[in-house]
Amino acid sequence: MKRILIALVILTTLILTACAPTPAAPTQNEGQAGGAAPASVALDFAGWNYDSEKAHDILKNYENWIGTQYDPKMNVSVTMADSGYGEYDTFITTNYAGGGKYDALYSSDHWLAKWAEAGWILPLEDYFPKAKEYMKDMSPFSVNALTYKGKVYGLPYYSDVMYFVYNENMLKEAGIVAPPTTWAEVTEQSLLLKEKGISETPLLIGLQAGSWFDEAFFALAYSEGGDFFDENNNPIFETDKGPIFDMMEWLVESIHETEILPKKVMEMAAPNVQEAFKNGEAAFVIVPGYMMKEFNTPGISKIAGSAKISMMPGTTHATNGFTRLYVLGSGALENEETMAASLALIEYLGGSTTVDGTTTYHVAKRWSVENNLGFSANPLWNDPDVEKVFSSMADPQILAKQKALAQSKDGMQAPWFAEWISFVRTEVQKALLGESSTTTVLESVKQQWVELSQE
Amino acid sequence: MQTALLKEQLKPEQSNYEAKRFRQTTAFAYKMLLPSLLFIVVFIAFPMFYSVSLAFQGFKYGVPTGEFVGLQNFIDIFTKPTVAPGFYNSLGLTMQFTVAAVAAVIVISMGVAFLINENFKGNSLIKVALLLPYAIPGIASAVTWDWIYDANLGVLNGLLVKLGIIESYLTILSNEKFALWAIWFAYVWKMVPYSSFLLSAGLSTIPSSVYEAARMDRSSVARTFFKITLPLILPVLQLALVVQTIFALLLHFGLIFVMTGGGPGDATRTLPWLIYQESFTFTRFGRGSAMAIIMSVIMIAFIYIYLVLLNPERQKAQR
Repeated sequence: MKRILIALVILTTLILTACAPTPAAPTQNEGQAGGAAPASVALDFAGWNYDSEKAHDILKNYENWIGTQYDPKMNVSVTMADSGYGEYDTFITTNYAGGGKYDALYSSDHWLAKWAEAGWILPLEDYFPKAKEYMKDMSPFSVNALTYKGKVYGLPYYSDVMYFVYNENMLKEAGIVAPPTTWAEVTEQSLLLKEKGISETPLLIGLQAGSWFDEAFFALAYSEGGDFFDENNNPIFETDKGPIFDMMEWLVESIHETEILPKKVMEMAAPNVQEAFKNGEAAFVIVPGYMMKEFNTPGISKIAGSAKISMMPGTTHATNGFTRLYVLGSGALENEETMAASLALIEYLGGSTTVDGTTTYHVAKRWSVENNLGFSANPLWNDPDVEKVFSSMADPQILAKQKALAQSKDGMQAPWFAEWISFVRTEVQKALLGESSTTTVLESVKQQWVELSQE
Repeated sequence: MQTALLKEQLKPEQSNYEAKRFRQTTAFAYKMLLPSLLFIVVFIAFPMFYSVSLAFQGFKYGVPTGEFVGLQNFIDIFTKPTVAPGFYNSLGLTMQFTVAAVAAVIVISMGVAFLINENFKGNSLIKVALLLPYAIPGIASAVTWDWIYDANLGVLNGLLVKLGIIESYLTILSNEKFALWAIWFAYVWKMVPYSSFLLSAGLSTIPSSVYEAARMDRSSVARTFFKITLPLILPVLQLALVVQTIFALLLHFGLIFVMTGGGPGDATRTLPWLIYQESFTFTRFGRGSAMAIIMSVIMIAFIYIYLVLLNPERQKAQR
């Protein structure tokens, strides 16, 4: 009896192990199922929890719109699963690794290649050719972010640019007449602000190991004309000189010698920088544009009215632009109705649709007007509501000029980018801590790229 | 064996009845055990075997390649230039953390156990207060400590400045020298209550007559502790050490998740964090599982050492 029981236990375990769902890529045939149209479609949607209430409201609007204005035969309900942005990649990974699927979901440019290679998301243009046409409306850096291996994978949720923001009142108090245009001037002005006791921590850049680090790091590198890879994804950055080396050396110097950048930036992400700037702790910050709204809102910001955007200091004044997007999940392959509803959802969220007789990028416009989120669709610049909001936020000319100089993150088209950039965060922090030299760190990140590309 | 003896002692008809009854009882016992066994299979054995099976599979971008890679994941961990240095660094940090945490928790818990074992006014209040750190959910206590250590508003910095120990606020969690030890302190704070109560239970089983005899023999406090208390609570101490080692190896993950994310640099990237990163950030489930197996082996080694070295029977034989 005892032996039989033990044998049963082992057998059951082995059977369970053998039958366990492995995180496999879906096959293209999975989507061929057809048949009679079901009365209703239930979509599984996933996203991070930024302004969750509004996100749910938008989905509710979609449910109403699809049945009344898009296709009366469609009755769609959407369930949204969410997590914090910082944990979102893990959230999706664990879900798919456990055999789960989503029909549509949020993604970000730096995860796109990894998710596409894993088969968790599908090339949108294969199922929705109009997606390619939409690219004509989008900012060039967004087009790059929405495309993988030459195929459009999604439509933009929002896109933004890392801006150099300064506190005008602090500069005036120190007798500084114009914001800095080079990094040397940033040092000079910061030292003056420290000397006059106006700010103990004049410069703040979120360098905590996380995705905000990537945006800031690339913005800094691009501002000096740094290039990481050539068009074939071969690393071209130098390890003992050149713009990326110089920028890193400047950061190290700013922490250890001039002390204009506090060490605590390594435990700060962009939202922490936003809080500190709002509290009047810093004179200069590098943050995404959407944070400008809070900076200049009385009641929630101590510096309301004095936050201004200027061109990114540096020799090229270029910056990093990033794009968050709506992508088609492999769950949409379940049947034709799910696919149709998923595509309609992605278009409703990221494309231009006709709602109550008006055709525009409704959802992107709502996010931009109500939350000041940046957008990829250039036609929205001509929208009076959008223009009103953005011109109150900063000088529209500077905004447009900076956005024109935005570049998407180099190397994102490589599926190992997410792993590499995670390694970069740790290594760069070692240089910032003074544990490793800049050359050692750059050599190490270069070697890591080569190793990963050969796997 | 038992059935055979039973049969010898009983008459044939009595023997048949008893044997049948015995079989029925045994079958009933196994039926009762079945739910627990099923639970063990589904929630312990299966995940364990599944994890082991992953360690021998190849993965690329989160998808199994379908290839049996043998020991390749293990070889990569120990030899691959882009993996091995990080692994050794994490292993070193984990060992430092575990040894320091177990030592601190056990020593402090022993002192606390003596304290709460004494009869004095307010003893119950102290016991309740002591349980609080353990009762607070892990993530909540991690967030609390994150605020305590905060470089701008942290209570710790404020206190140190007021006491004149430091002149300006320190960046504790972004300092590579302090970060791991800041986590260690928060961990010890949380884990002391559990061991204290465990050891206190052990202390309460020692008859007071033994201590009275020691006092009459004019035994010093140290001698009484090492010759009486310690040997008598050895089984409990052994249990506390085993449990604390397992906890120290695993349960600091939440603190790292909330407070440092493995940084600054790789200053707090201990093995649990590295395994999490390999599996869920890099989607290298095979390598992550292989690392988890290595960590389990380390854990078993620790437990074996405790069980062998602190075995009361072995101690008796040595005496």
